[in-house]
Amino acid sequence: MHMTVRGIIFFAIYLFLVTLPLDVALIVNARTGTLANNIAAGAGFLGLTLMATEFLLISRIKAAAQPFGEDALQLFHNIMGVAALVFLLAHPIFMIVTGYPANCWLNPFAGCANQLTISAALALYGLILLIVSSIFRKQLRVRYEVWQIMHGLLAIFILLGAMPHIFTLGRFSNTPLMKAMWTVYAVIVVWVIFWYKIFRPILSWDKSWEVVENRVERGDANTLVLKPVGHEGFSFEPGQYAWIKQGKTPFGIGQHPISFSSDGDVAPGGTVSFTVKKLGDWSGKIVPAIESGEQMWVDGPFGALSADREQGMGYVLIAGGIGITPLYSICQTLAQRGDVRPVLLFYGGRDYESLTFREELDALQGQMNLQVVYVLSDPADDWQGERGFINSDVLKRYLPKQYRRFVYFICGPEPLMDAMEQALPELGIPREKVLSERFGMV
Amino acid sequence: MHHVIVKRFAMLLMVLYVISILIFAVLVTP
Repeated sequence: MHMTVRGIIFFAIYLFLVTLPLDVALIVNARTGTLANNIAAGAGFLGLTLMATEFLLISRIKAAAQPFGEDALQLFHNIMGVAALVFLLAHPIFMIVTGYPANCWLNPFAGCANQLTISAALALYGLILLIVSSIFRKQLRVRYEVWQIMHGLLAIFILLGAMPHIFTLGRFSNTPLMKAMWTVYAVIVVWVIFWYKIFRPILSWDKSWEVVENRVERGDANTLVLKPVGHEGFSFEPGQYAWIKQGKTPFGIGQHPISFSSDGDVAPGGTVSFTVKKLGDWSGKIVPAIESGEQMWVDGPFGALSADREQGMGYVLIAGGIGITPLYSICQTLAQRGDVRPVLLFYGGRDYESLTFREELDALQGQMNLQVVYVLSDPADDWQGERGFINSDVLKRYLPKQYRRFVYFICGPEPLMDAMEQALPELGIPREKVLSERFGMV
Repeated sequence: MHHVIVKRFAMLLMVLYVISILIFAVLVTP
């Protein structure tokens, strides 16, 4: 099925799930209460279904994620999480405005509070904690693995806390049809959590990988070369990534999304490589210490940044820092395929010495129709090439005449992505010809 | 997919959700 059609179908299902409670509530139509009461009820329904569908957005169901790209779905998940909080905060505010006692509903320790108000209030406070800890994780210096556990447990706690509230209270929810509908939602959420945390790991139980090399690269990076153990492994579309995890079992936390840095056309039983820059606890301390022979788990491939999806008469690759990884994979794959189309790579970095895969890219320039333009922000005094950052002026100096018919891939830090997503349309490049991925998506 | 598009689309959805809530509230209020 065409990606666009599939995307429209999955979005329609998502929208249906989010808005269904409002439609069902209209059918059971209690026709009571004030306008503010009913705004509160509507906000509560929407906030809750937005929360429930958050699990779907990050469940790695490939068929649903492919049309959009996981990083776009992750961003959508982040925004909808905030939207859920806004609607679920509006719910008690509108109730209190119409005379409901604030103390009983918002203070779990108040004398008038009961089990239902306490669970609802705790769920609301849990949601506030979840959103704040997600937005400010790095500022709060919470380790990714710790946050991952906290995020999942809080999300389940919030939905469990809301359940008694919606099943027993309210003019709408306390009807058989609404109860049946909420039960279906609960089943969907439980199924998604089981799929994501139990079934997927079980399915990959006999598909472990072994580290055959941990190579130190330029620019504070390490390349892990993995070979499949007892299975044939897989090929991937150049530009994609996978979630990798170290350990004895595929269960539990500690998965990290890392781009492939090797040729995508892998022979059965062949190795795949991942390149990781030292940026945090896991990438800076754990990865450099991984030894040959250690067991790893690979969940993938994922990602819509793929040279196989959008064909052009040539490619322009724009990389910043370790964002070179998927683009290097694209170059290798095109070279191995003997692809003669022109490839122009803009590669931004601090200085010449810290450019990961510098030698490999220079070598590839002799093997394929590749031109690499290094753009250095802090080069040595004798540097003859481009200085500063990649911008539309730099692009204009190198882009060929027919550049509007090329396909563009961008991967790098947020400022580069923002600058390019603005600059490329200004150069007349159609948006559908630009594929991008933000590696800081989690 | 462009993140700018995702953000704009999400904002548009938020507005539609608010309108849906208001329509719902008006329809069920006696």
